[in-house]
Amino acid sequence: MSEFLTAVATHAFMRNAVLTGILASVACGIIGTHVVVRRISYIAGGIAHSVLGGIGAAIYLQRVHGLTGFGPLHGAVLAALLAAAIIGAVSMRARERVDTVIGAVWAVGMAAGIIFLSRTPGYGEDLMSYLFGNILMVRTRDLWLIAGLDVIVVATSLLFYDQFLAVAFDEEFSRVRGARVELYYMLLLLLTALTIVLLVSVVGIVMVIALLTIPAAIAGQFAGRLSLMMVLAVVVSIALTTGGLALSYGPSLPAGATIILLAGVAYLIAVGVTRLMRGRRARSAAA
Amino acid sequence: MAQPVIEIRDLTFSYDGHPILENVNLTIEDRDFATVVGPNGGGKTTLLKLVLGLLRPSRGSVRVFGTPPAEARPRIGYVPQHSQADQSFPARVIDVALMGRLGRRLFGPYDDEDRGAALAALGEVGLEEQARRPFADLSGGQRQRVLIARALASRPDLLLLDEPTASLDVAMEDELYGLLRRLHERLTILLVSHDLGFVSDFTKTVVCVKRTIAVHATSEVTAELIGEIYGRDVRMVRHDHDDHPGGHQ
Repeated sequence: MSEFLTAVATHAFMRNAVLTGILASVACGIIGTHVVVRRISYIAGGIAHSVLGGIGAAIYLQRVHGLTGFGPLHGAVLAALLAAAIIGAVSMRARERVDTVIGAVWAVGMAAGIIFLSRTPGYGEDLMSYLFGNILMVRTRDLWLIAGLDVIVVATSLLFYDQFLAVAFDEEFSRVRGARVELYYMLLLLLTALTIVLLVSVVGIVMVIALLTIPAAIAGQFAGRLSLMMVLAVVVSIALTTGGLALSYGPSLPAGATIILLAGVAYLIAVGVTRLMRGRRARSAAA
Repeated sequence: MAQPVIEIRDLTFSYDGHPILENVNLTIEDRDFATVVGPNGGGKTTLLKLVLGLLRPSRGSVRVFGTPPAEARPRIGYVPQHSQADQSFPARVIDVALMGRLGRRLFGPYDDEDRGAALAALGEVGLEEQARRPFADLSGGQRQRVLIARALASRPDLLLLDEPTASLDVAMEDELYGLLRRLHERLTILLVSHDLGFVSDFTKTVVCVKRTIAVHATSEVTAELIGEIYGRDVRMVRHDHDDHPGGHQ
């Protein structure tokens, strides 16, 4: 542990990693809560994997065609927003086909990314770091983009908090009240897309869904209102990303995978604790 | 005479080529208390969703307060059979009641007027003391009353309820009907129900739906009529579908 603290104090890349985890956790807790209560983690999975297409295209254009100013994070943002818009449009017009389209977006995005990277010299290393996370490689100028995305996600979801809550609780009733249900749904998917890009920097494409849903699911075990669930999810997410980084540093384990394993263990403990609490309450009520 | 609250003319609704409702004519006057009855799959909920503008008729027209249903929505309070949310949804009672104030603005939080209306609505159903409790902690009957408060929070002129007694025991049912009787002093009420047993004295109109509809004054509802509506022998149903609203009188 002290080893980790010394590293944070001395190395800029460690500070960037910790800061990235904290920034991503804020959006993750808020949007993850929506993803959990609306049960759209499969959509989040589709968006996450499609991101590889944008990352691959950006790296290819950068290295092979010398296009500067358009980095992997920009490509990731564009691909995620496009995937969210496609899935959102299909769920509004042909709900019965959503499942198929999510699967298609998921796999086609990955395929495009792999093709682009295969045409780029030295792709293997990049592919692994984007699939499984490269939080130790976040540069200071990436941090500014990450912070910008964070501000957009947090500000928008605060502005639409009451509307998102009502639509998540009862979509049909919200429609009868004259609310723009489709607009809110599309907006939520776009915010989910931006949050996924933030989390890809932390744990990589493959493990994004776990970090998006587990902190919110843990918070949901204890929170009786949506705003509290969001705050708890942010705190849990910060604890998991920072804790995972600290645990992985000494034995130099992959940081992303360590964070996810820690999250899995934390979720099991949370479920166990709430089960015990409920059981004890039921027994004392019966006695 | 005042404008009818609901006016349905020559309405047919088909789903996937199967007619659910055919040649329906129905007029609900101001301050009526109408109970819609009929067998499962007979088209009761479809009728309700047509009045809400959630479904569009294949033929014919629906007008609510003289306008298309979507435009009348600010004046309609809707109490669905259950809310779509699962019972562990993280929201407090007041959060749910406030949802009745949705649709007044595109974004941003509810204001003091909204909170006042939601609290008043909770008071009307006797739950203002529970406002800060999690919705999930309430009993089935209390949750039902919160959903009624959510509908009342928009200060509607017409209240639509879909199977409000479906999950209630007899005592809770009596309480609910007491509440509806009080609300009827100022509202037009249209209630969908799966059985006729409790179409009680304060219901003014009974609307029987079984692909076509027939309207009866409550006093006409007899054991024989109930047999006609629910009996297996469909040929026994002899509702005359003349064009004047009010059905056979």
